[in-house]
Amino acid sequence: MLSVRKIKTGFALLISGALLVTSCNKDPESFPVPENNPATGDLLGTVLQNSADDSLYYRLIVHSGLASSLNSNRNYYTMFVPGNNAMKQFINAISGGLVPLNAPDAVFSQFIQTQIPQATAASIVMYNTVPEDVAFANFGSSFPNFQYPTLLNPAPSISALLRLTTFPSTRNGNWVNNVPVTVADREAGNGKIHNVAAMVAPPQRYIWDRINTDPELTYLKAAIIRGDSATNQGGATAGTIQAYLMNIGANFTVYAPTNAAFQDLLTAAITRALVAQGVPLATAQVQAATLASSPTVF
Amino acid sequence: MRKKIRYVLTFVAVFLVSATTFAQQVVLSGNVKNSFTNENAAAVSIAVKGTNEGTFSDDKGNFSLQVKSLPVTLVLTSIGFAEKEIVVNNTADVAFITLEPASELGQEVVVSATRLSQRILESPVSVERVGAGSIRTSPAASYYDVVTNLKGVDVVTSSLTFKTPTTRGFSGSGNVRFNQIVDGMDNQAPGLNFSVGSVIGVSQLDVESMELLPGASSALYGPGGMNGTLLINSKNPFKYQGLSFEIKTGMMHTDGKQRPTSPYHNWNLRWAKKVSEKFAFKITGELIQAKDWVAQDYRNFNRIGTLGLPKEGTRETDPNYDGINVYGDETTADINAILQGIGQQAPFLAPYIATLTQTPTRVSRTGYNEADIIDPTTLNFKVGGSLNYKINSNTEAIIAGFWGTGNTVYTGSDRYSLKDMRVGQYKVELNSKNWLLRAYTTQENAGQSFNATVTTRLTNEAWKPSITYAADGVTPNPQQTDWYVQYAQAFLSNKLGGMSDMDAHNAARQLADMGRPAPGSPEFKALFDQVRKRPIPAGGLFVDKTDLYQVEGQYNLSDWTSSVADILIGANYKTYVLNSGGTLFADTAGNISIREIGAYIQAGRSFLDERLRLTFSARYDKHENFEGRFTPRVTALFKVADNSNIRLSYQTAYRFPSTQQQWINLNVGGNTRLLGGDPSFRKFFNFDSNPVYFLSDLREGNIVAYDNVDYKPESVTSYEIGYKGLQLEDRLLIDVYGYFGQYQDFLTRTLLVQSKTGSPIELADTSNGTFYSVPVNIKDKVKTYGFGIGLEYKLPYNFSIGVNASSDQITDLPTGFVSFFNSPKYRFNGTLSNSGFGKNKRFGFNITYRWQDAYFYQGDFASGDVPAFQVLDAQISMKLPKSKSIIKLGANNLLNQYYYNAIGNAQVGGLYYMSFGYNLY
Repeated sequence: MLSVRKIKTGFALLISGALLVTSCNKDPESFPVPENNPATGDLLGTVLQNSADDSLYYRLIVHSGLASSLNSNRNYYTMFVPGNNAMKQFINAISGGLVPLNAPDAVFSQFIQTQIPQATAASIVMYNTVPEDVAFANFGSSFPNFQYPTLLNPAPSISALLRLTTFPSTRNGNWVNNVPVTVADREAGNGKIHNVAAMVAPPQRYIWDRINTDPELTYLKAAIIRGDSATNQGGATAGTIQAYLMNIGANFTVYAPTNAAFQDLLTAAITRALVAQGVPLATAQVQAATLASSPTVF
Repeated sequence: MRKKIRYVLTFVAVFLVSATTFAQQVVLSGNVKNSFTNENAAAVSIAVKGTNEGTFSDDKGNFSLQVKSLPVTLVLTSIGFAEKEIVVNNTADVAFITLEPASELGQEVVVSATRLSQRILESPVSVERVGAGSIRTSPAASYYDVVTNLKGVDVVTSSLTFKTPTTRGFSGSGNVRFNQIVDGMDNQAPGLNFSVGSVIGVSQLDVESMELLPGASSALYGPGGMNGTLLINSKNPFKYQGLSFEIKTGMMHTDGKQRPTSPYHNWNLRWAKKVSEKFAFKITGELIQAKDWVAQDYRNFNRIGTLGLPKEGTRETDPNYDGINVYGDETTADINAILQGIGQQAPFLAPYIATLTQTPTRVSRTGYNEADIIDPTTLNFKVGGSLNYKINSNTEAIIAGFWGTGNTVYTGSDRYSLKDMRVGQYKVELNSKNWLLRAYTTQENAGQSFNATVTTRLTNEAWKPSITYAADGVTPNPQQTDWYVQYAQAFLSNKLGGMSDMDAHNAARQLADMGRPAPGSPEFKALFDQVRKRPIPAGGLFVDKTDLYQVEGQYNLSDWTSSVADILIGANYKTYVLNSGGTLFADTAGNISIREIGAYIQAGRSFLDERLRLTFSARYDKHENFEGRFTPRVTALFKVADNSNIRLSYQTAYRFPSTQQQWINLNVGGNTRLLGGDPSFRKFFNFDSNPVYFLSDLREGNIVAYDNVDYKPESVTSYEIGYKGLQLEDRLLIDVYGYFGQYQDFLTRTLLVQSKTGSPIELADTSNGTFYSVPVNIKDKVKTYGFGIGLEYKLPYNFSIGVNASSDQITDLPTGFVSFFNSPKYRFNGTLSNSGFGKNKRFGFNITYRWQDAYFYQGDFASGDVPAFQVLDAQISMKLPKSKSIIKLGANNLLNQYYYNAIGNAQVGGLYYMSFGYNLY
């Protein structure tokens, strides 16, 4: 009996020893891997698809070919979305009133599908979409307005970093490019939707376009061209004033003297110059008025 | 005339008688065998009692000895056998001699403890000994690994062939506080500052014994032995004769965890011949070839300057990821400056960019894994030899040398691939009964060794510059082709496209890395090799050819002084010649020489009828750059009974800063430069005009200027009590010790920061400044204590069991003190072996189990928790007596449970081998 007990004890010790030595050595301490999980829940495209009041804008998204991008669970966006009423006003406007505001929704949808080129639709949607998931309050109320790049690159062949920008602000309410925000911070899995009262549109043209075509600014145009010619070969080559005014990314405010202002200024200046050269005042005034009467004075 | 003739005849007769008498020296020839196994007993000492005459049996057990006349008494001794005296009246008396095997317990003779031969039981300080027999029966694939199982030993495994043992804490790769002495020669590579014992030194079959002195040992062995000294003694060709070889072949990586299963080869050869009673020689060689363990700790970590701790994050989740065993990713930059530059060029993006750059956006370059850049083949080739000439029966002249080369991996402040490194140690020695004179040199050549980190970073730069700099080398002049410019632009573009931060980073990295040479591709190899072969700083090659020269002598005056005390005196002079061509040391302008001189004395006397022996030792050393140091040692040995002794000791040790701590000047990346402590560095790097500050303080918002205090040697004072004795009819050997040590002026490194622009230092400089790692002394004293207990028991039927447990702890650590203690609180070793069982006692086995507790490892390269681990080694052997050979089947880490003992080093798995040994003794 004793020997059996000894055998048992020995066997138990053997088993214990075997268990001891076969228990594994530990690997180096590991750390939890920070999560970089894809977005979950209804994504932007889906939220808009399921929203009756956003059906027309969603139709525009589908037409633009961006629906799948907006439903990416790896990318995060903030969208400025005009509701159906705003979309109707937008279509009414761009159709020149051919699509009346009280037309059935199907007519608006049909217009979007057939009358708005796909590229244009994409530009519209991209301009109304900015990267990242931004609660509207975070745009801030600073002045001038926060300039936030959109997805729309007007000249990708020049640089992948070119972007048209929006100008959201929370100063005296919520605004984007001076368009009121009607509903802010609608949540989606991969971003936010801020409904706007009207289609947010980018500036339609460069400042130079305005200066170049406005009959009241012909003196300013001539002055700029003259100025550029002094330091350059002229035209809109890099470094000229024209180039700055045609910079798609620039955000300028130009104090533009009208032609009359230029004429007054020039007449006075030329008169002073002629008088200083000994020309009688009356003669000088006549000559000055003649010279200043045309932008060719530059 | 007749008278004359008678005189002549008488003269002739006397001459003939004399000549006959002279010629009648008796030649004793015989053979010695093991009475138990009937095997020939080699290397048995056969001495003529009462004289200095004697010889050794050769590998066949044969011996031949001339004596003047008979009768004589021969004394036969050999470890593992009972001493035997034979009165020889006739030459036939020695024709066949048998020796009775006897327990070796406590009978081994050690020299290291007092520089004089004594039984290990009577050593006044703790000492461990591993003899050739233990190495032969150990399951360890390499003799160096046997040290691992000694009491109180910690080993840091940098790679398969680069292992660094130490005792009593402060373990580390290339530990400079632990001396290794091979046949009297300091085995430390003089420039690289690590002992090359496992890489270059004595070949396995030439090892007679290894003696380990744990703890402070400067009093006899000079500066450096703060934590212990390992002495490796090779075999004398007069004693150990004949041809021996061992072919060991095995396999590693059997589970494919690190790399596919690969072979392991270890071939050993030793040939020694006693040409005459006056002259003998030996030639030794060893070749190890294997695929090394792979360091593949890919955890993210904070590199040097931030404690080197692992942290969360991967290459996919941290743009500034810096993997421990990933190199090239140490290059890091804040891309905010580039983003802001884009904002200046494109004002419409500036507000948005401002939202991205509110905090630094640090990004590291993409690295390469260690496995991709370091030659996987470990190669170690050693040759050695000696010419021994007996000038007379007391004096032997020795010319000896060890030379080795190979590839291995070492962990210092970075991981270093030691490629084709060559180290030679050569000595001339006169060794007499009472004195010795020795001159030796260590010749180091780093070969094609390179810093893996620096080389990979520069390979990245060679492929695509991180940032282009203007001609002044300081002012950034970013170009579209720069990696960081491409990365930043792509990152911004990705962000503008709506990506999350991490996705934007990963996609940007993908773009910036487009066309990056793939690991292992010919393009990568060509580029990497091009950088690897360029000397630092343009490449990663360190051109170190530092040498050490030493002359030393020792005299035992006991023949004259024994009535008062046994007195031993000695002195040495050494010169280092640093020669790295500016790649490691500040020796661009020429070699730097460093000189040291030292002397010691030891006096010992027995009292109380030989029951108490007191020994006093003292050593004085002077270093040309430091004040002289005096290190005393006092020991007492109480003989409480036969074979039972209690020992007490007070020991001191100190260490001059290593050659690197004095003169290193090495850029290790991350804007960090390792500097030596020589005051000239302060002037060179403008510490006076552009002050430096403690980085750790600055990080906490405190500006504390570096005090420019000169550094000095560190020292330790150690007290020890121990007992060693035989019990249970001499079948049980007990060895117990306890110690307490106090470290003073502890040498460590600290990081300083200097403004790059010369402006007053500010918090931002913790990232943007220039960092210097300089050696400093810690003002606070650090205390360590511990104990060890070892039991070895001889069981019946040739079984033997041994267990030991030990503990080392550190205390009184000031807050924030980085001690590099690196020692587990507890460790345990157990061995069960049998030296002969089965048919004709031909079989043997040895099972060794090792366990050590978890501990926190601190290193210059990386720090972190090392979990507890266990290792089981085993071997079974079979002797083939007719062919004098032995076949062994063995395993290191039998259960293939991977373990590691330092952060940044490879995990070690199982190594399984089979060996055939011929004439092993």
